Amino acid sequence: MLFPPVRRVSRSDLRVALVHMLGTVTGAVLMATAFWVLSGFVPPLSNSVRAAGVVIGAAVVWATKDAALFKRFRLPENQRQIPPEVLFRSGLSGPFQFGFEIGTGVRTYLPTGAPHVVAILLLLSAPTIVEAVVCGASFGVGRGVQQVATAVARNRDCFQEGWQRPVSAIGPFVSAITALGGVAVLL
Amino acid sequence: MPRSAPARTAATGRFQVVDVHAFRRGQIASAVWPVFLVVAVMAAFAGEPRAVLFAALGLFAGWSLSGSV
Repeated sequence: MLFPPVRRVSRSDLRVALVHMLGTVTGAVLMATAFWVLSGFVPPLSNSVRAAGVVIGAAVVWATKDAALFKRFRLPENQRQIPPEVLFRSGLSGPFQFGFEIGTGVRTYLPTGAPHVVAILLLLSAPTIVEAVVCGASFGVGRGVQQVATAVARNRDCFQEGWQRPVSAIGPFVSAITALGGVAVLL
Repeated sequence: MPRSAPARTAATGRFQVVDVHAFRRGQIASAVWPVFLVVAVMAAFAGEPRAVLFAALGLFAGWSLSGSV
């Protein structure tokens, strides 16, 4: 958590949250651009083959994250927390770097399979650079906006509990929902 | 003073006294903000449905990781 649980009258909290979100967006756009470059090495395939690849990939992600294969295989994921020292550096460089590392998705936990499915989609769907950047920027916004909303909330602990409730409710279905969206992109 | 009530927290699973107003505001914000953002992306990328879908998927994937650091 970036902020203390009870709101203090401080504009700097919102500034910290916005810088954090700038970091998440920057990190996510960097990763999306990397996947866009890698997608150039995928041989030409028909849309139906690409869609099948996304569905199979999402099924593997779902099975690994949420089902029976969970204990046997591990998806590429750096299962550790970003050290708190990163966040508490002086000035705004700490929140930016913290957000950047979260935005890349390769430096911390990934509780759902959605980022993996989006990565598979970016690799297989031959996106344009604009589509890849939009996808990455959106991921970064999605990753960082909770902190922006929390920065202006009065009771932050309860606000975050409320925020988490819908996320927890659909947790096991996230990979499948993302895969459906991916198929919609390809058809 | 805000109304409060015991509720099971997502983080610990235990019952705690929860500020109901703040909790509901969090629920509503979590569920509603992506809609506004997707509409904004649709306006920005009118005529490019693939870009809008990519944006929606990116938002969804990012949102699904809310609370994780």
